[in-house]
Amino acid sequence: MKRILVIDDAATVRLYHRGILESAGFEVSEAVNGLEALERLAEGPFDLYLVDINMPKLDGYGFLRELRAKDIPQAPAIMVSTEAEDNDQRLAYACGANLYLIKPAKPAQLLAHVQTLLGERHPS
Amino acid sequence: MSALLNQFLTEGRDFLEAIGAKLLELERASEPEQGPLMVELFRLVHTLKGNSGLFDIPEMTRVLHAAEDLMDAVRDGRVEFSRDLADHLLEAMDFVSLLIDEIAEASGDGQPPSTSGHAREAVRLGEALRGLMAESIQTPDAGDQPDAASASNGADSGSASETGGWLDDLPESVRDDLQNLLASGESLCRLLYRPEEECFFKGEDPFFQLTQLPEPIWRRVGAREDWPRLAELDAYRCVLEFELILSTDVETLIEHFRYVPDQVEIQPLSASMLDTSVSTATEPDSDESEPPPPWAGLSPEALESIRLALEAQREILTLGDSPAWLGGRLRAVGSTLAAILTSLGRDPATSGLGTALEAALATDSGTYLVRWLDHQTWPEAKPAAPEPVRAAIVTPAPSHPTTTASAPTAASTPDEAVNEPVKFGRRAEDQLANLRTLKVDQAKIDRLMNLIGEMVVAKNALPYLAARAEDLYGVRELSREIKTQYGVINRIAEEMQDAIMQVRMLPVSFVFQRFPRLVRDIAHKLGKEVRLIMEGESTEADKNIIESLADPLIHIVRNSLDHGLESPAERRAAGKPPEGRLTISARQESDRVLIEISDDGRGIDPDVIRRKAYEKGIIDEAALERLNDQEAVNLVFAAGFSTAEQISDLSGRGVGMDVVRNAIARVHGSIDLRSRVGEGTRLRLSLPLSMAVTNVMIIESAGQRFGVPMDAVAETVRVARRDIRVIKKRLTTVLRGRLVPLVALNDLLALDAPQLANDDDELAVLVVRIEKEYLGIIVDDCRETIDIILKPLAGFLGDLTGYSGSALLGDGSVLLILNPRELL
Repeated sequence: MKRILVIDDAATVRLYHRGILESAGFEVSEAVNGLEALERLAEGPFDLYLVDINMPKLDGYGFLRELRAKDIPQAPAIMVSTEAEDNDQRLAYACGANLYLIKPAKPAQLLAHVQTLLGERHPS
Repeated sequence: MSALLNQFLTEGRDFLEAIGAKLLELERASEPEQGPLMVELFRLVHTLKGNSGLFDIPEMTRVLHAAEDLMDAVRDGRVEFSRDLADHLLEAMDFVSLLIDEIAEASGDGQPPSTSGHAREAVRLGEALRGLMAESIQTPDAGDQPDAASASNGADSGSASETGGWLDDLPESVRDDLQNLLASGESLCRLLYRPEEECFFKGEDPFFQLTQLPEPIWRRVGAREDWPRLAELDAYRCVLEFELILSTDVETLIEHFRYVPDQVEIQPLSASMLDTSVSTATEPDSDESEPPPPWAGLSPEALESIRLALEAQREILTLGDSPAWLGGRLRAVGSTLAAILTSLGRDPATSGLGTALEAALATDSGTYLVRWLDHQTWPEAKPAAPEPVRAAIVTPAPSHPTTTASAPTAASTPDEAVNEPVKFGRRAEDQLANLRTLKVDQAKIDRLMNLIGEMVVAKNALPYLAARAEDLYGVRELSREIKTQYGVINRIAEEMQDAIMQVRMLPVSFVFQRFPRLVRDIAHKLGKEVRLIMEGESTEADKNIIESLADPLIHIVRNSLDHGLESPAERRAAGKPPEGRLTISARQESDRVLIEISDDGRGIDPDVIRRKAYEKGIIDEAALERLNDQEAVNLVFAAGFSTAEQISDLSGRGVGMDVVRNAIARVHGSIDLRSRVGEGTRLRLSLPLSMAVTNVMIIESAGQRFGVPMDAVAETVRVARRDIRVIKKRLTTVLRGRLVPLVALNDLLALDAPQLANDDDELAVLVVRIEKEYLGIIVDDCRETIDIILKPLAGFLGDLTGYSGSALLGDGSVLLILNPRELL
């Protein structure tokens, strides 16, 4: 089963994402900030990261930079933001995100993106 | 490109140019002069044909061979030189020129690229040239016979073929097989090959040709005519025809038979040709000529997400930074791309992605992965609906029994010949002396131009920044440093702009070179004798200016030939030499390019113009009296004016001189017309060297800012309100003894506000010059002048009149640029 790490300081958002992803049959882990997410990596690498930007202690950019500097299998990461700012998107890409989405993403859309980045054959 | 091929192309262009010049010369040469010219012409064509034989360009050799034979006959007096013959030869040379251009453009590896796409055209031209010989003489010499025979064969076989007939002759089982193959997506072709009778003597082996093709599905070898009795049968003549049905595509066959394109018929097969009752609905997969992509079953949402993800990876790869975590970032992109491939139903292991990723990691750069991205086939942004695709493929093509890549050209009527004198695009003359030059894609230069435009705008932000540093934050020192730095950047930007502008410069010969042919063709059509003199062809101006010149100049030249120059008889009666003179010259004067078109024709009669203008309601009775001769002549520029007694098909098709003037005005040029009755007419166009940067004055009105191009501004003055009078219901004032009508800008723009005066109750007036009239525009205030990059208004704003465009200012705001000519 593919494992996804959802990193967000807002419990509601974590729940929202968990619901969508679990219903599609993915295993979901959670972290409340970048620092905790880095600790979670010890559980073994994940297949996809869903990363919020603004978080206490270590924000999404910082987490991605740390993640990409590690010598582990590098899975795709989706940065989820409330801002549709070109600069934020560039920064997210520069830090190591592979996709930049505006939240709240619609369940169907989010799933389509997750499936693409996980290499799942989309249900037609 | 090999040195040999390069040499051939360069020399070939020289030859073509010489041939073109000699042909024109031959037309005007006297009888005794013609002999040596013809010998020279034959030599040129002969050498060029010989050269082309060194390379694998059968299409070119074919046409040149026909031209050579024709010139040989002309030289020997067997065929008479005529205008028609010259036309055909010129057309043939245009074709050869086109081939040379194509070969030069395709960056080959020493061998010229295939020009088989023009095979059909080559056959047509060759036949046309040989046809000219056949008309004059019926005794072709021995060398001509094979080709002449093949030409007629080709024509015969073309007319004899019936699309439907041969299908019925196929055995039922073969037809079933074909249908099944088509249903499984095979692409099938029918080939009819009729080797020319003398082929054995030319080293050709038709049977070998056929064995080199893939194994046919069905074949037939037959007699192409009833054979005579054995005793009379000539065993050395090939009288067979071969008919095959193969599983291959049309292009392959065209390429295979490119040396004998007139001896083959190639026809792609479709399901509907075999059985019209087969509907597309019952055979869903029957008509895909290519296997469907692996992602065919994906939903539009899935494809959209894949497209988005691909776009994102490309953006990540081209970021251009190199942070410490670059390696991890590249690997993440790698795994993302692998996932995308899997989503698309492709195997990442066989895609070469791994190699590209390794190369990217080794070089610490995304370049290799970008390259890999570029070489893959990805779904289109909007997946095409499958239904229309099927329909397009099933459509039978009975109207085109033989298919080649080149579009067949209908024989052009004389009228078309005049309107489109250059049938094969750019001719050899375009390639004049391009030694030691670098060919650069025009789009790249345009991009540079846009970038420098943005640079100029961006640097203009620095003075604003300096002002803010001082006024807002009170750091005068920093402000001064910014200003100093601005000076440096400004200088570099200006130099860059200048350098890029130099790159964009084109000689006017780019436009002029088409005139010898154009003038010749039009003059012939009108039965006039014209000598064309061109001067200053190397004068340069910006590409946009040069390009905008083309149409107006052609129109002017047509006008001159049609209305200006008289027929030889009229000229003789007027005591002039029968041959008219048309001079086109160009020269640079400070920062303008001047182009003069003058003729020694009948000139423009101001009285005729006055009368016409009055009849057409362009001027009233008062004007009829008031206008002096020069002003009257200038009336030809008025909209809807045409003096032609009857509308000819050359000029006077409702496209008048006003269109010419507007076209010139669009590139900020002006036009000046002088004419003397009986002596001739001279038109002078004055154009800027470049229009990349526009100097505008910023004005204020009703709290808004606008720009006015400085070349329209004559002066700015303050006029006391009491000095403004109303004369004939118009606001007017007197400036230095001259009466200047005034209009308020707010009225022109329908802004609901009065114009503001300063403390002394004086109004700011911008005096603009339109043609030779001065007009004052009342504004609230006049500000500084700046250089801007003028962008035309796009979208639904594009229809707005009164504005020439918009520009971005250094502080990020948009400035609308007024067009006084349209406003007033």
